[in-house]
Amino acid sequence: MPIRKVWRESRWRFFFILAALLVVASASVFYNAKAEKVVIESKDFHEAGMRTIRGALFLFWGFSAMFLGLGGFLRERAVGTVDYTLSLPVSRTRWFLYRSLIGAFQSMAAALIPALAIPVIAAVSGGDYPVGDAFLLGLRLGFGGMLFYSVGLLASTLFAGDYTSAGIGMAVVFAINNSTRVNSG
Amino acid sequence: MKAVVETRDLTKRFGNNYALSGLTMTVPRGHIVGFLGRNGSGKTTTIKILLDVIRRTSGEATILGEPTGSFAIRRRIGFLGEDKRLYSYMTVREIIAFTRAFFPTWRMETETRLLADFELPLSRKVRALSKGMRTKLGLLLNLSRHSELLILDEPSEGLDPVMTEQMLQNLVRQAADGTTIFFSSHQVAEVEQIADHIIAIEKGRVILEGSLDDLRQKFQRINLVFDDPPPPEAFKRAGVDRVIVRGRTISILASSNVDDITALGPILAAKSVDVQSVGLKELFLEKVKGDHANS
Repeated sequence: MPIRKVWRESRWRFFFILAALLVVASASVFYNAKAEKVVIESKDFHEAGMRTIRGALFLFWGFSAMFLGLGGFLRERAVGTVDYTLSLPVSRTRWFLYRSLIGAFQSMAAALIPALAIPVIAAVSGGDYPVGDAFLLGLRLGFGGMLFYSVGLLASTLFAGDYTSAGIGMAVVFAINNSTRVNSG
Repeated sequence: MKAVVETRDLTKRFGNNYALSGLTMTVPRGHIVGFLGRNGSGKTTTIKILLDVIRRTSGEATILGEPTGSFAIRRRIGFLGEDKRLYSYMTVREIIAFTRAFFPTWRMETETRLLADFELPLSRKVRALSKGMRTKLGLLLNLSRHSELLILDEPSEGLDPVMTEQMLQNLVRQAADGTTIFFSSHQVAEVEQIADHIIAIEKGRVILEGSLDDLRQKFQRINLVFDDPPPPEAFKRAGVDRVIVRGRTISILASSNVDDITALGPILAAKSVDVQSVGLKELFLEKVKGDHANS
């Protein structure tokens, strides 16, 4: 039952983010026809990581993952339902655990589904994009980007308002993105 | 007297303000306990500390014999908050099913009866319910649990008189079934209507505590009329809680020793002496005034 509640409270945010990322992924294929640019060719982890955290998809995904981390008790306090939630026989730790796990699964799904959609979109537009590469891209986005999800989770634990949490989270994501940008030349 | 809630020297500070200043009280098992106080007197803060929604600054508090932080006791208690906020995205049917799953003591017959009594629309979203309907739903969710203790924070706030009456009758029925009811209110009339035990607080401290019958027996109003009233200090003795001079009349609120105080009338040349029982409203107002005079 707690899992059902957490899912119900986050599902529209998840579906919206998924749809937005699919639009971003489609746009990158249709309008730039350069989807290959985000393929990770290098086997070197550091270089692969640095290359992964470039590009519109990753930036969008970073913000999205951060948004998936929002919610929780402070938000419930703001909307007035926290008293009811805390009167149920579930510890705060378990509520947090359920929220963290579902958010992590949603983040991973939000990374994998748009990445795996790229080969399909590429085929529709007459191009070719290997499914294996797309899967690898999705996994790297998902695992590497857990950092951004954690930022959202932390922000929602520290700040009550959705706008405050989102604003601070976005600033952190933007800062991380800028600080990890590497010179290609 | 077995207690379901006990606090000792409970304090809660918000910045420089004390919401609770050494609150010591006992909620006896098997009673309907009215938790009376003005707005801002500390009732909601006390309840939130008992439910571990907020943390106390100092002092001790136990609920059903367990420390307030124990989440296991939540299976044994029900709670209806002041604003009756519930999950707006769920339908009435969904939130009933959701809540039912947490409580093994859930009574389907109570759920069915209250659904019929309250005429709740099962397929309507909680966000589309009026405050009165939300209160009914909140009551159903709590009364059906059949918990040992039901805590309600200003349950009649925002309700019309008919709905208030319906709610009070349901609380009485639940208490008859063995549940201890602890409800806060600033409406003396509704407390007096159903409560058999009173705890009144002011500025985060208990100013009145005991069974309603005992309080009614214990406190008496003694009115003495004089041609030339003596100074109030003449009545300073055990049992005198408050002395008020109104023209030629001296009105004394006594908590004990009534016979001795009454006997002062003839000694001090009173023209008449009249002893009256004191209603809860008057008693509460006197205690609040007395607290302000002392502080």
